[in-house]
Formats: sequence, structure tokens, C-alpha cells
Amino acid sequence: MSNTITYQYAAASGITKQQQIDELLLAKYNEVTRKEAPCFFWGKLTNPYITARCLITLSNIVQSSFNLSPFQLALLKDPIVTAGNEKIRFEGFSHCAGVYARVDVLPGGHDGEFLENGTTNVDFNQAMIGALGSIRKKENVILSVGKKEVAIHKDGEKVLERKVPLPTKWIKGLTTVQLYLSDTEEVFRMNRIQALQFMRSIPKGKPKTDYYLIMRGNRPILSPVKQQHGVCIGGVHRLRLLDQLIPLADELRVFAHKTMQSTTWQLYFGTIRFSFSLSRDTWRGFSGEGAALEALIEDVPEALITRFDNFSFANQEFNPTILAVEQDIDFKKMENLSGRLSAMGMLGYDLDENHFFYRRLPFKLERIMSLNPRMKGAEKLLEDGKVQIISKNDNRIEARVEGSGVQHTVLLEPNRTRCTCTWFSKHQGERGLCKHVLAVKKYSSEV
Amino acid sequence: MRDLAQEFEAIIKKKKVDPALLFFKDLSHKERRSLAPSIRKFNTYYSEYIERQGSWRSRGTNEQNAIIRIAGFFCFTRVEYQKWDSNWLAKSYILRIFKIYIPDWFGEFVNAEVAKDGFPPFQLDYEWMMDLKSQGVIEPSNTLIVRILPEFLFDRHEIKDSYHFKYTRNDGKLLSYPETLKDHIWAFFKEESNIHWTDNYANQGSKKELLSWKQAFKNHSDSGAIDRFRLLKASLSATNMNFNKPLTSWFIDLFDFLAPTTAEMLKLQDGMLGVFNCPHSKPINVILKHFKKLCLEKSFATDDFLSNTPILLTNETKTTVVSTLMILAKLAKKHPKKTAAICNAATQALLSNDTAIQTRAAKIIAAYGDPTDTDLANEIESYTDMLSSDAGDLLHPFMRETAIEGAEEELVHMPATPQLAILTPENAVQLPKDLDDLMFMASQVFDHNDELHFDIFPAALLQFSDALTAENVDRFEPALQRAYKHVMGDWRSGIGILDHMLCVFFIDFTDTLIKRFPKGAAQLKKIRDVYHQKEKDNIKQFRNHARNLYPFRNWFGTSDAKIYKPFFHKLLFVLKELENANTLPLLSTPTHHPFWIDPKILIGRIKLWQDSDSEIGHADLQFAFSRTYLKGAEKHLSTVTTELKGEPQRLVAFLFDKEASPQQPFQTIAHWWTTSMTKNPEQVYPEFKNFVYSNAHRAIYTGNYTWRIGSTAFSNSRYDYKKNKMINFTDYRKMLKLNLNPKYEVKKWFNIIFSIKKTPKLGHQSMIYGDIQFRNQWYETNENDVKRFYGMVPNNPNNLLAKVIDKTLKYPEFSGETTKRMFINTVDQLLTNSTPMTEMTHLLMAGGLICSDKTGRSLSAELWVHGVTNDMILMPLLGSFIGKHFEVEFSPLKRFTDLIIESMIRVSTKHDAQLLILIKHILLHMSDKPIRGHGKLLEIYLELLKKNKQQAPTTVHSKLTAWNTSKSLAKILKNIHAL
Repeated sequence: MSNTITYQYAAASGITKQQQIDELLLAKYNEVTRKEAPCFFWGKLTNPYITARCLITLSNIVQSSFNLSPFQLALLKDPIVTAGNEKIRFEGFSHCAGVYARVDVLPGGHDGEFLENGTTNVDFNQAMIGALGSIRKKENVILSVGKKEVAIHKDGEKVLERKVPLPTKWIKGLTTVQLYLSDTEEVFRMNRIQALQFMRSIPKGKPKTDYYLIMRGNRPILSPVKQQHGVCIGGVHRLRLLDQLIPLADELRVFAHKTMQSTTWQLYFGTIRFSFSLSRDTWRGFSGEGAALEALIEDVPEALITRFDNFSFANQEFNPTILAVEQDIDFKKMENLSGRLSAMGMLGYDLDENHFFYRRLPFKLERIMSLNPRMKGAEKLLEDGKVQIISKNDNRIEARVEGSGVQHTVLLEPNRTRCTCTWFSKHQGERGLCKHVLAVKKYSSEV
Repeated sequence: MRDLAQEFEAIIKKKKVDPALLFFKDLSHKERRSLAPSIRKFNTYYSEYIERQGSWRSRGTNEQNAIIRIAGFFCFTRVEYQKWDSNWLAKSYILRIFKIYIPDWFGEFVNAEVAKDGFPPFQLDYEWMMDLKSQGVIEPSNTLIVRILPEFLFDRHEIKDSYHFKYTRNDGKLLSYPETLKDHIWAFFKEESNIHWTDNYANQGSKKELLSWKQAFKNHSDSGAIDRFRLLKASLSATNMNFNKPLTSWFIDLFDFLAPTTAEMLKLQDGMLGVFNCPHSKPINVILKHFKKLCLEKSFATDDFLSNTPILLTNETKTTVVSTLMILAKLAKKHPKKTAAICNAATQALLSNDTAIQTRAAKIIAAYGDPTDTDLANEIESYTDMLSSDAGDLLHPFMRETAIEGAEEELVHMPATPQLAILTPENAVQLPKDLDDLMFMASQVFDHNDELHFDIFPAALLQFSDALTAENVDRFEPALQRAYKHVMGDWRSGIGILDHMLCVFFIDFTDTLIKRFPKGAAQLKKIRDVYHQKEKDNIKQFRNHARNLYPFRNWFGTSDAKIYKPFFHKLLFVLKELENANTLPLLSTPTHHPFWIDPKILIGRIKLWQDSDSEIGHADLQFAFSRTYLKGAEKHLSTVTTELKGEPQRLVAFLFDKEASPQQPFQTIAHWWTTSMTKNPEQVYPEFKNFVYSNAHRAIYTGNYTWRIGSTAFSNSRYDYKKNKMINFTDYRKMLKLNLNPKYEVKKWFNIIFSIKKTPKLGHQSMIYGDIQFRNQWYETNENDVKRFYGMVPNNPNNLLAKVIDKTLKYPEFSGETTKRMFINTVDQLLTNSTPMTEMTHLLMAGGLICSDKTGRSLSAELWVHGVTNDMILMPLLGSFIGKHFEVEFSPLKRFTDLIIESMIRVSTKHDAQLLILIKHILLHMSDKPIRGHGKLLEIYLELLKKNKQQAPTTVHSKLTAWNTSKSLAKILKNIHAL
């Protein structure tokens, strides 16, 4: 699969002014459907000033990278928009796959019609981003996701084309982050002043050490000292991407993953919400984390996935339990479904509503499902017969797995999994399971 | 049939370009395509670098290589040509080829190349491009235009006898092609270019603007050739195009250079407000500068400006905030009806740490705000606890009494960090519970995942040694492989020398297992054989190869500083006990974090050893005593009497009882000395006068070294280009010098000999307080061991800290990453400390609060907060140490004042009171000559005096009088005097 995507837009996105009304047209492209789909949304933005600033920040995040060269920064990957179920969500991911952001325009944040629902790439060119900056508070702004009146393109007529590298890790990160979000809980709430105080306390430069966010009385404190109830933030300078937005927000809520593998910062502007998720560290993108691995061990029937894909609509709440009852499917099989669907780019996660929602990434499935190296390694171990179960009872499985020159011991116990390999010893399961554990789990589930 | 490849090769060999051109001219498209594979082959052959007559060059001559590249141009498709790494040709060749053949992909290729790496191929310039455009060969992209158009404006003149050129601007050239001014110049405002570089073409002495594109833009807009309004608008929008910082600044400079009139700016307000989204500060400040005048105009967009104030007033650039407040003040004066909104906006500046900004904002609110406005009062209330005293006084009419009291209350009752409780179940160290735990621990102990692994792992090996059988020993395989990999050189960051020691220890232990279970440990033996073979191969291959594999008993000989000695002896003892199949618990394994041992558990452990009549390890016992948590230990004295016997009983009784004197007879003097140093290093016991340790200066054990700070001369050298040689000269540097080798107390030799004779039986390999010595080599890397060093002497780390200070804080800057890490790890460890701080802890903290690393400073500030919360700091001592640093201006004062504002002030009322004492003592020890940043420190002092409702004491007043010679300090000094 090529690591390059060629966005083909019928026209460039931009803002046009007509009779005191600005129309913000977002040109869209989907490499799966390809043909020019009808307009997803057309209507007024009730808070155009904030929406515009959120989109500017989103574009900054999409352009940012915390471990790549400046040259790669120039190759902007376009954000993804999901429209439907009265919500418009814009998602983007940094180049380094370590920062994820989403702008949710909630009911009340728009006054228009959803002509169609779906997910698509939208052209974010610099001229449009620049023009967004001049949108004022009381302005009338119409948002159009895709063109309402589709222009007829003659054969051979040029469309706007932009080739950018789209490495697997970018998409994999986009899918993995949803699982992290689903395992995340609210830790702190800050009002605007506290949020601003917090932003001011972010150390200058690019600190290499972890920082811990704690509340000392009413005051948010960032400290390099490990704190028991603190939120651990690696690569804290990445939060500077929110510099321009925080002064405008009413509230900031901080969410942390249960083992501090990611943090999510949600800004609230009435009917608009801005979510910002950071990976554990600058050099660790979400893509390298093995959050989805466990979900991939057990196969979920293809028919179920197809059925789900066919009957869901954009932004629809995904509830595996209800689906299991409705479709009369074994609950056990449903356990891994959300992980599986998320890994396939079919689900996003809404932290406030605490549920997954349907949105199908506008990329070919083969891009999304390109094999996970650790999963591939586990399958190879099984293929070569390198897994040997030593003992198995209800609560405990002990196995030997052949590694490079040594026999590793894998122990699966309730609520605890261990392996003697280097990866596991180093990360103690924090970065997902190692290939040896995956192999034993897969083997024991198959047996 | 023609053999084209052969014909082409013949042409290459002739080394003439013209016949090649004729050859390709006569070929059909199909024939040209058929030659493509041969061209690649010839290119590989002729471009290969070979040695000829002593120098390396390509096999083909310049002509031959040019012929091949021309062939590629003729025969390749665009995609092939683009991927070909020899796709560059001089312009002269292209011009000759174009007379015969112009590929239809040429334009697309040029645009793609520019988009790829920013450089136009074939030395393409603007004039040539326009020529090609007129022929329909190329449709230039914006990226191409902005790359080549900047040069077009200038005429370049060679300077005689120089490689340099002289440039003159030629505005007329821009009129040569109608498209230039109509379309092409506008590309500059959309695509990133280097247009700002041309400003540097100005020769020395001449004004930049004379040669700048700015002047050309101005001239053509004045003449009407360029739409001036569009130009102004475009230069504003260019600031939000995500261009680099210098280019963004250039565009706002262009806007300024065009000198927009008030009428024009009023029309351009949308664009000007849009500049506030710019990530750089300069464009924002330029617009604010214009707004200062514009805001008085009737049609100024006041509401829109106010909606932008959240971004402007929270900006970290001081000028931006000050300018915004100035505009707000003017607006408030001009629009009495809008004062509520303006005052509300101004409150946002109260978030600033700068007292001057807070005062400015407070003045606006005080002048125009309505004290009865509840919205405004609520807004101000949310800033109450961060207001400076001046701002607080100004805003007092707006604040409700309850709010003020509430803020005070909050500061009083707010614990900065939780009080430390040590011997609690939550703080207990978790030990492996079964063999599974041990096996999984073994696979990670060499990765330095936990500081305590060094102690827990050997203890667990002893504990479970009798559970090891032929059936399970092979489960150590991954751990053994890891240990071998580490010692064979598979090093990674974060690993310390102690981890290496643990690896060698474990390898030695597995050797005994191999002997004990010849069949069961077959896999372990296999791994051992593999690495021993590798070692042999290395020795054979590299003559000077340092041996990596050796018995553990030889470890100390291979390394290192003396400080490793106690650790080495402890592991040596464990090895011996493992061989003896002893499963008694080690005395020194910490029971509670970070490295403490519960005194009750210590008694139990010693009893087990005494009951089984086993010999206690000397190092193990010293570690154990040194780690015992002594607070409240005296309540276990009765148990000591009943449960223990012999010298250990007397030692423990001496350790646990603060007032107790040592009870003779002394058999192992190292144990007695360690115990006294742990319990009370300052106390001199006459009973120990005959110990050899008494012959040395006590500071060697206590760590209370003398120190001084100042300029030190050193010999330096530099290269003198005129004399063409190195010149030696005396230079000076600031230095913190600890006297780590204090002179022996004067004693007559015969007394020393006599005392050695009288010394009780030594019976020890090392005494841990005497072994705290690093090597002097600058490259020594024990930063990852420093926490474990601390764990050796948690009751009295003074000596260790003195050595750390000498390593890390000797000079104003850290000498490297390793010293920085060492310092950071030390402070990190000190944060877990719960005992009163020693003198050297104060000195380390003083150096840390002003050190050159931001993380180091933040951690030191946290240590200060932690110390104040738990009453562990002597503030006058710390203040005097910091003051002595500033007396010689050891580091910039701004570092410290910034740190106070960020992390030390307003933590709690207790902290503020202590901070006031700290600053007082800093001021008292500073020089009579003010240093840079003095004013800010005095401002903070004044602020704290006001907050604590105090006046400066007379001792400080005399200092203030001495500083009164400085004009810049006059105002602040007057304010302090006036309290």
C-alpha cells in the first residue's frame, strides 16, 4: 500500500463573501467513495468566531510534529470531518502521531441541514486558514461541508490535487487513540482563569522530563516531581498548541488514562468543544502503543462488521450490548467488537457522552488494517510452533515461548499478565502486550 | 536492424556532445524509449567513482556524463526522469536540446521539482521561464514563481578582483511582462518564499530599504501599477499564512513601510484584527502600535477589538499586554458607555505575574469601573489570590470583605504537599511472594526499573534459594541472557554502574546453579557458553579488548570509585551465603520507601541470624544501621535488650537511643563508627578516640567541609592569528570550591602509631561513611547510581551531597548532560526525604535554585516548598548561601526571581513568610554594589513585606542605603523605606 495519499478536491476550500454573509466552503474528498458526494451539511454557524479559532488550532495541530524534521512539516495532512446526528466533528492528528485533536460542533452550534451523513477529508489550505482569522464574533457565516450545488467537471478537467505522505502510523494512531479515550477518566476541572494560570506554568523550551499536574488549593501546578495524584504529562510543551484557544474557553477539563498513557484536554465553548489528546511522550506516537492488540486476538465475524457498517450512520452512538441483543449475538463475541471496529477506523469516542460513535475513516481499509508488527510476530510464533502450554487451569496459564536464543515464560492470571521478554520487562504491559503474550492468548483462545 | 545501444556507446566514447544531439534528433519516439534501459546501464558505469592517478573521480569525463544525461532527457518519461538521480543538466545544454526537442513533460517536471525541494532545476530564471511560458512549454506554479521572481528585480554586477557581486534594484524590470505585476507578485503573499533575503543584498553602509522589494512595491503602488489597497490587505493576510518568523515579520514591515493612512487602516480593520491570530509577537505589536492612534477614531471597531482582548492580554509578551492596556485606557476615556465592558476586559491582565502590569490594569478599573457592578466584582474576585499588594489596594473598593478573607483562609490552610508518613503499610516495600515473582523480577532487574531492585533481588534470591530445583532453574534463561548482554556492552541510557555490578553478581550466581543442577540448568550453560565463546572471539579479534567476563570477586578491581565498595562487599557476602544455602533474610533490605528499615523488623532480622549462630555480613549490617528509621526507634529498646545479645545488641541500643553512649568492648569499629555517624554525626564520643578514624579530619565522614565561592584563576590558551601561534594566558572563572581534603589534625606520628596499636580489632572490609568518594575523572558517569548512593546513607547524606555538589554545582553552568542528570536525580531523591536538612542539603538547594537548568531549578523550588511544609529548612542559612552566590554574581539574578514568581511565591501564607525571611538573608549577604536584576528581587521583597504587613529591618536598611547609588533602584528603595 502506498504511503502517499493524493487528495483530489473539486475546488479549494475557502471563504467567499456575499451580501454580508461569509460562506465557508470545505471541499471534501474520500478515497473510498471517490466520486463527488453531495453536500453533508449546509447551514449557519451560531458561534463562527470560536468555530473559526478552533479550526485554526486544529490546522496548527495537523501541521505540527514533535519528532520530525521541519521539511516534513510542510506536508499538511488534511483533517477529517464527520457530519450527522446533529453534530459536526473535525478530527486531526499531528505528523508524529502523538497529538490528536477534535472539534465538535454540537447541536446548537449550527443552524442548518444535514443533507447527507458521512465522513470525509476536507481541504485545509493555508489561504483558507488565514481567512478564518478575520471572522468576527457577530458575523454571519455559512458552513458548507462539500458543495451544495455540485459543479459538473468535464473529463480531463483539472481538480485540485495534493500529494502527501500518509504513513500507516498516522492512520493507526488515529484509530488507536479512540481506545485510549475510552479508557480515560476526568481528573480535574479548571475555570478559565485556572486554565490560563496552568498554561502560563508550562515550562519554556522542550522539556524532556515528565511533568505532573496537581491542584494546590485552587491553583493548578505543574511540577517535575512525581506526584501520587498528579496527572503525568510527557512532552508538556505540546500543550502550547492550545495557547490561542484557552483564553477564549469557558472551562478546561483534564482527563487521564488509567495508567497515565495519555491525557486529554477538553475545552468548552458553549456548544463547541475542543478535545486535545497527548500521547505518553513526544517520541511515542499513539500508533506504536498496543492498545488495540488485545481486541485483535479474537476474530469477529466479518458479516457482523459488514452489517454494522451498513446500518450505522455518522455520529450514531455505538452500544455493543444493545447491538448484541438486537442482533442476537453472543456477548463474548461482542467484547472485542468495539476494539476491533475502532482499529478498523469505524469508531470514534466521545468522552463527555462516554460512548463510541460511528464514523468510518475516509481511507481504504487495507491502509487501516495493514498488519500490526507485534500481531504479525505473534502469528509467526504460532505458525512456527514456538508456543508450548506448560500448565492450564481456570485461573492460570503458564506457557513457554521460544524467543531469540531463550525460552520466555508467559504467565496469564486473572487481572495480570506477565512475560520475561525484554519488551515486557521494560514496559510492564503499559504499552500493550508483547508478541509472546499475544501468541499465548491467541493459542489458548483457539484451543 | 540497428543496434542503437551500440551506436550510443560509440558516441559516448567520442566524448562529443554535438554528434549525440544529432543522433537523438534522428531517432523516433519509439527508438528513444527503447534506449532507456541502456542509458541507465551506461550511467551506472560512467558515473562510478574510481581511483585514477591518485585521485577519485567518475569513470566518465564531463562530456561523457553530460551525453548520458542528455540522453536521459531525450528518452525518459517524466516519471522516469524525475526518479533518475542524474537528472540535472546545465542551462547551456538545455538551450541546445530545445532547438531540437522540447519534451511535453518539461513544465510539469519543473513544477514538481520545485514543489519537492524548493530549487528550480536547470538554473531556470524568471526571464527564461517567461520565455518558455510564452512558448507554451510551462505553466508556472506559484511555488516556482516565488522561488525565482525575487532575483529578477535586481541587476547583478561583478566586482573586480572579488567573488562578490554588487546588486542594484531595477523596478522597471517588473514592467517587462504584464503578468508580473498583475498576477505573479501576489504569489508572494500566498506561498512561502525568500523574498526577505533580498534585503541583505544591500552593501555595507547603504540602507536596506534601497535594495528591498519593499521599495519596489511602494514605487509601483505609488505609480498605480499595483493596487495599493490590495497590497496593504495582502501584506496583512500574509502574517497568517504560517510563514516562518522572519518572513512574517517582513510582511508586517512592508505594511508599515507603505505608511497606510488612517482612512486606509479604518477600511482594513478586519485584516488588522486578523493579525492577532499570528503566532509571532512582532506583527501583533505593530498592529497595536497603529491601534493606539486608530482607537480614537469614530469608526474604530471597538467591540471587535474588545472581543480580541482575551488573546492579547494573556499573551506572554509584555509589550503586547501593555499596549493593549494603553488602548483600553484610551477607549474607556472615549466611550463612557462602554466602560463596563472595557473594565471587564482589563481584568484579564490581572493574571499577569508582573506587578507593573497588574497595577496598570487595576488603575483602569479603578478609574472607570463601577464598584457596584456585581459582574465586575465577581470577575475581580476570581483574581483575588493572585493580586499584587498595589493592585489589591487599587481594587479594594471592588472587593467584598468575604472574598479577601476567603483568599487568606485558603492560603493558610492549604497544605503544599502531604506530610510524610514513613512506616505505614501503604509505604511498605513489596517483596516477591513466590518463585514466579522472583523469575519475572529477575528479567527486569538489570533495566533499572526500580531503585530498590538492587536490594530486593539479592534478598529474594536468598529467600527462595531452597525452592530452586532442576525443574525450574532454566526459567532464569531470559534474565541470564539480559545480564550477559549488559556486561558484553549492550548498554542503554538509564543504566548505572551498580546495574553492571548486579549483572556480574547474577552471572556468578548462575554459575553455581549450573554446578548445582548440571542437567536442569542445561539452557543456562548454553547461554554461558555462547557468551564465553563471544568473549574469546573478541579477545582474538581485538588485541586491546578489555575483558567483559570475569568472576564477581574481581569486579571491584575493574571499577571504579570507592563508593561502590560497600555495595560490592554486600553482594560478595550474598554470593557466599547463596553458596552456603543460607536462607536467612538480609538485614539491609529496605522495608519502607524510599530506603528505610523499620527498627522493629531490624531487631527481628538480627535475632534470626543470632539464633542460627550465623555470621552477620559487615557491609550488610552497616547498610542496615545506616538505613534504620530512627524517629521513635527508642520505644523498641526493651525488645533490643530481651531479644538480642552481644555486640549487635550494644550497637542497636546505641543507635536507637539518642542519648546513649557506646558500651565497650568494641570489636568491629566500622560498625560503631557507622552507627555514630548515622545517629549523630556532630557528636564526638571520647570512647572512640583510639579508632583509626579519629586520626582523620571529621569532615571526611560528616561531610561538613568548608567552602568558598569566587573567581579563580586558571591557565587558558587561544590562537593568535597575527602571530600564527597559540598564546597562553591567565583567565578567571567563577567557582564554588569545597575543601574536600581537609588537613589532618596535627598529631605526632608516634601518637598515631600508638593509637593504631591500641585500636580494637578492625574486622571490616569497609566503613560506609569513609567510602563516600567519587573518582575525580570528569567522564565518570554515576548519575544513574546516585539515588542508590543516597539509599546507603539516608539518615546522614551530608557527605554524599558534598561530593555531588563538587561534581555538579562547581561552575555556573553544568559541565554536561551527565552532571545535570546527577544533580536532578539527587534533588528528586531528596524530595522523598523526611529528616531535617543538613548543611550540604542547604548548599545543594541554594545552588539548585539558581542553576543553569530549568528542570533543576523547578525541582529545587519543589524541594524548597517541601522543606518549608515539613519545617526542614533553616531559612537564614539557605538565604546566606544564596546571597553568597549572588555576591559574586555566580549566576543571573533573573533566573532566581523568575523562579520565585513561577513556583515559590503564594504557595501558602507559611511559605510567603518563609520566603520573606529567605530574601532578607539573601539581601544581607549580597554585595554593596547592585547587580543586574536587583530591582526585581527588591520588588518581590516589597510585595512580601506588604503581604506580611512588615517593615524592612534595620540590618536590611543599611544595605538599601548602599544600593541607593543606582538610579534605576531609587524608586523601589524609596517604596521599601516608606513602609
